[in-house]
Amino acid sequence: MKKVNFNNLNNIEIPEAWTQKALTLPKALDSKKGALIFGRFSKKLVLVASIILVCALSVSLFIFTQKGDILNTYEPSHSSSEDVTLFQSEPENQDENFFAGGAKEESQTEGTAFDEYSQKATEKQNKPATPSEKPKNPAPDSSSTDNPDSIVNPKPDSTPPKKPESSNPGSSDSSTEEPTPTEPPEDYEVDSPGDINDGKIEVFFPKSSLTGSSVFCQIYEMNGTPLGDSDPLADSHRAYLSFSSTSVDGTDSYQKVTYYLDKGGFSLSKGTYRYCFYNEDGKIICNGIFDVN
Amino acid sequence: MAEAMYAGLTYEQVVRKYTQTVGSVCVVRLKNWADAEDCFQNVFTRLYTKSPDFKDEEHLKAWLIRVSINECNNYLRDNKPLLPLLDAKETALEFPHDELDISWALLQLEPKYRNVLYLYYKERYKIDEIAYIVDKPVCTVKTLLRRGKEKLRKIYGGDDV
Repeated sequence: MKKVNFNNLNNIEIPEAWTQKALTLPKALDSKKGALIFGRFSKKLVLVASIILVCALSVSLFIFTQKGDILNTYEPSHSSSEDVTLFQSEPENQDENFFAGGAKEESQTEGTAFDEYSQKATEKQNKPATPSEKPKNPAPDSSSTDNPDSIVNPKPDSTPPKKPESSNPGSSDSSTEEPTPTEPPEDYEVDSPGDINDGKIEVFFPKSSLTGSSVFCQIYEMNGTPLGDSDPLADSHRAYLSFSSTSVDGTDSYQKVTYYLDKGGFSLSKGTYRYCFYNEDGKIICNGIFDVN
Repeated sequence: MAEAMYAGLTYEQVVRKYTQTVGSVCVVRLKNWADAEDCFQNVFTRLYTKSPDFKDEEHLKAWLIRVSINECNNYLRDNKPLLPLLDAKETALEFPHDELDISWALLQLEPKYRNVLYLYYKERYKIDEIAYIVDKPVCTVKTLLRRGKEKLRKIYGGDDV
């Protein structure tokens, strides 16, 4: 039998190429480390560039979305003291006040003009209102400061009306159904805001209530026939939002909305008409009547 | 930048001096030149990147052998075939069949015996040093040595000297 010599374990010849490759490792590792540093630097560059790009896109998008509003807020320079100007409070109750008839103004509790107007509105609300009942027109001299119309048509030097607070909860009738945009307003009593001769209606809304960017105005005859396009959300009924704060209360909490009657493509003869403001969802946010002399 | 030193040796000196040791450990463990070369390069990559502080050359050599064994074990673990192929031979290593050389017989042993026997008979390590390097108890190393010698004798077909 062969003798096994465990000490007779020859060397395993390792190729010289392994050694040479191992000797070049430091250079390869150092260059790789440099590449890693550059890679991190370039990653930061890419990150910063991405952030800048996203910001630029956001600004572009913002400008693009605001473009339509800028067009809507274009306002012709002509103005008149005869303009019909209204101050509106909570729009949620506006469509309900549309039927309640002056309940909105009832919530305005303080102030001389408001008190008088509220009293009158309350009295009218207590009357049994019927669909056939004619809205009461005010006296021709509607610009008098004693007249409730001074609330809706304030003079520049008049006492600024108080900012309307929340509407009277009692005026909200949850059972009242909201009319579709194509339906004319029915059964309401709102004092006439006054005469309108130069063909525009101005309404002041609390900015907080104008969530959308578009407001529309539809004019109706007193029998409910819509004038112009029967779709209240048609472009001919689009009202203009003003950027400038022209609120008489001295704050910028109100947004002036103006509708030019000639935009609707109809002419108004002498008489009494109804107007109704809708938001872009077709929800009524304000309504009233006015006279054309 | 100052060149890194390893127990008083430069990187190049370490590579040239311990190529045989590290390479042999890898080949004995893996029995495949290509795989062994990968692990061989990984050992020196770790040496360069980690730059451990060695007390002396013995410490350096022990560290290199230990890292070599660990690299081989990691390699085998990471490249474990999902389905064992019956005809896939572990050894792709061509080894001269020398009557006096037992290396070819050593490679026929199971992996757990190969490195222990190699370190004991070739690198002349003591049992406790082998236990430290392979991270096993001394008793286990003794057992591996005893059983490995018996198996080697059967493979070689001779008596102990």
